[in-house]
Amino acid sequence: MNSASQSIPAPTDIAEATAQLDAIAAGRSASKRLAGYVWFPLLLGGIANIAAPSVYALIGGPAAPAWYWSVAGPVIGIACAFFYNSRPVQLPHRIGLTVVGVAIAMLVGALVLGISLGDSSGGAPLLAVAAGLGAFAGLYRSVHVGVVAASHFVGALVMFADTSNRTTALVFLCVGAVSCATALAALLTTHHVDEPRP
Amino acid sequence: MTSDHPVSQIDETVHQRYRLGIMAFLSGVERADFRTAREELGLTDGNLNRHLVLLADAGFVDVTKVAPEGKRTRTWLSLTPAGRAALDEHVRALRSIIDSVPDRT
Repeated sequence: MNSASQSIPAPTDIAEATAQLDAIAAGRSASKRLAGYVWFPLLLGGIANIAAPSVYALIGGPAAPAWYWSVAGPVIGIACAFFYNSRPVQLPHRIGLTVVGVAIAMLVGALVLGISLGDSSGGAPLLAVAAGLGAFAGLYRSVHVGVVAASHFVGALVMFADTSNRTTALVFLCVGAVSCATALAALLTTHHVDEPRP
Repeated sequence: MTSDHPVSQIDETVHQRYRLGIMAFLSGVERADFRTAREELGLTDGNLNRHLVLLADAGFVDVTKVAPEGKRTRTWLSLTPAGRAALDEHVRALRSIIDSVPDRT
């Protein structure tokens, strides 16, 4: 059947109009779902968190977190930009620009809090990251990102209560593990669009 | 049926269900790859092409072929501002149809 030329009656009744509205909403959300892969940034963030305590120890000194995140943050951001730019379905540019703005604000906020407050910063930098992730969860309408934002928030509270290096390391490991596990869950539950085959 | 009935606002180019599906799919994103749209919409290459020609002729969809050096050509589909306006108008017309039906409860 030539579907391009087939005649379809106009939606003169409420049932057909409702069905068309539902189809439009479903089409919109399908493409948004395909474009909004969150597993990749969550996985990178999780790995960065898990690696943080070891790298802090390797760098040494009170400035180690600032050095580490001022390198790891932009690297994650650039990797995500390449990843999203390679996807076969891409989110509107305004959302991309908002995401970049939030990411920069999150990184700068966390670094400024960490550097200015020094040893007494407690969970303040992690709280800035939790706020940024909360904004991402809203932008992507993602429960997975929301879970990771909540884990960062809880981690920040724990670090406010106990500022010892041991607790800090444990929080980063836990937050990183939650991020990686959530990334895996997002990857498994999201309909994956393969790169077009040659 | 009078000419001011909401159904008179329906654009036949947009109304056809596959074209409506294509426009709805593209309305959620900046652009989508041809193959992904074809797979998601459950259409054949020929069918999707035929509908895209009609939508492009109406100025509702932009079809851009990109051929990076040494890589396979990729065809990107995106909704034009006129396409977004037409889809919004169609949604408004559908809502008017729903609102025009008297509540029987």
